[in-house]
Amino acid sequence: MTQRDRIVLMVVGALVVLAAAYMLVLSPEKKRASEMQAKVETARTQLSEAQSKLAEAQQAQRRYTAAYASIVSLGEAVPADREVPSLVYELDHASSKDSVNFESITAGGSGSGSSGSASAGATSATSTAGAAVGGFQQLPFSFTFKGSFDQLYKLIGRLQGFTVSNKDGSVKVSGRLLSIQGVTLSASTGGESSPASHELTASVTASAYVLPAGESLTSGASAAAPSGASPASSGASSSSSSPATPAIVRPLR
Amino acid sequence: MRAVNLIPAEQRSSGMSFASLAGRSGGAAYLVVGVVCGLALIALLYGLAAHEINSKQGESERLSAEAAQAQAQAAKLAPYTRFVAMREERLKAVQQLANTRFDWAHSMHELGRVLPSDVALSSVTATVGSTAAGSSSAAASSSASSASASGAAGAGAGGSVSSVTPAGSTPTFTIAGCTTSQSEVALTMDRLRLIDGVSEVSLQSSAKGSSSGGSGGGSNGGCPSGDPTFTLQVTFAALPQPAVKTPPIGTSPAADTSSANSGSGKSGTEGQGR
Repeated sequence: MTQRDRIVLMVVGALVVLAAAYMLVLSPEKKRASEMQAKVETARTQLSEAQSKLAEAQQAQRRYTAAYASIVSLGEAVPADREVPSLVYELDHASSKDSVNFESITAGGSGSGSSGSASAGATSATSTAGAAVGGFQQLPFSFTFKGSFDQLYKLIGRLQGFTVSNKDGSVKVSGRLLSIQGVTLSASTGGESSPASHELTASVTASAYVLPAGESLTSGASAAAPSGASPASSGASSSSSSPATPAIVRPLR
Repeated sequence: MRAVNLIPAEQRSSGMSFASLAGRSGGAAYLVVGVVCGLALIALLYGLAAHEINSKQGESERLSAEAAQAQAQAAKLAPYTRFVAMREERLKAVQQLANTRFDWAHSMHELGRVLPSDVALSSVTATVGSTAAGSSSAAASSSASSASASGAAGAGAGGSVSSVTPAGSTPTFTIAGCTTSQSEVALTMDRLRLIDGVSEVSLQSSAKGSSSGGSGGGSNGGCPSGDPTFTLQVTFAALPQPAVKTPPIGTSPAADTSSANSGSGKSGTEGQGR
């Protein structure tokens, strides 16, 4: 073996020693480091998700008072209970504004009836509910009004105007949400109406809505905090009372 | 005299030969130094990696703890999130129901506006969703009731119905009345086409008859004998899909109250049905 061969062998041996040291000691450590880096990235992602959820929850907490007022306002349009007396009151109030004679209300559809049937219809409404619509339950009614054409169409607009959706996404609530399905106008046949009076009888079939059975208006929430939460430290002050009508329910910002 | 080389035999080669560079150890010393340096470098890198692992582990634990804390706080405030979500859902549902309604007041106002002055109406039957209505005032009331019944039944079937006046349903007005001549009936049909949103005006009947109880049946508003009584059907365009605006995200007050201004129908008429 020449000296050159010896040197080559020694170089190869040294490289083997270094490679073994790298593979046995450094490489696993580097692998662990990269695994740890991935773990950190995961933890960072989880943190950012949790933080965004928290920010959302904090924003919800800040908007709670406004949201509570909105829910209460919407409760006027779609109450938790049938609230037939308030509906009758609203109809009577609206018809008197237009000098229209509010003749009758019948629960469950099919118009015609006398004023005597109004109370019966109203009370029987408590036992008649339609199918769930958009999460709400329908309450079909038939109303009969007497008045001139002009008065009647204004009244019909007023009935649908109890709850109006504005273009900006807000909802104006001044009474029950009513969807009119049909209107029949015919000449009044009552004794006191003459052809000259142009008095018409309008039979209106419409549906009011109530919240689904078992769902309360605020789901147990109070003005200060929702059910199952401690009161908000900021922003949840008073304003728990039902807002004066009409309420404008605006999108939360 | 013979020259004697006093330089040791291993150092005699002139210049920088490999053997001279390797030295007496034959280069082993350099290799040892190289290996030691390599091992030192590996040790240094190992130390750095271990330090990195420790710091990453600490960071990971800190981040996990922070995430857990944030999650706990968010869970504590979850009722607020649920309440706001419930409010959004209800608002959307109310908007959807309100937006799928037919504008009765405007259409009736238009009806009164376009009718010729010498037309007398005995009945107007308007429905949403039913394809056909009765042709007389007697049938009118029954069609109104059947419309409500079909609406309830449709909803009862569940599924696609989202409103009692769902998008896609067609409002129709069935108008019975009389006028002075058949050409006035034609004029009336032309005028009815001017109503906003009308897609079709069709004639069901127009006949000269007796003053009451003719083809229209029921009360006819006191039409003179010999005047034609007619029944027309006005079909409107199908109700459009409701445009529910998604509430924007931001921060500002939500509910607001304003002074009384209850929604009335559009006021003012130029002509009216009799």
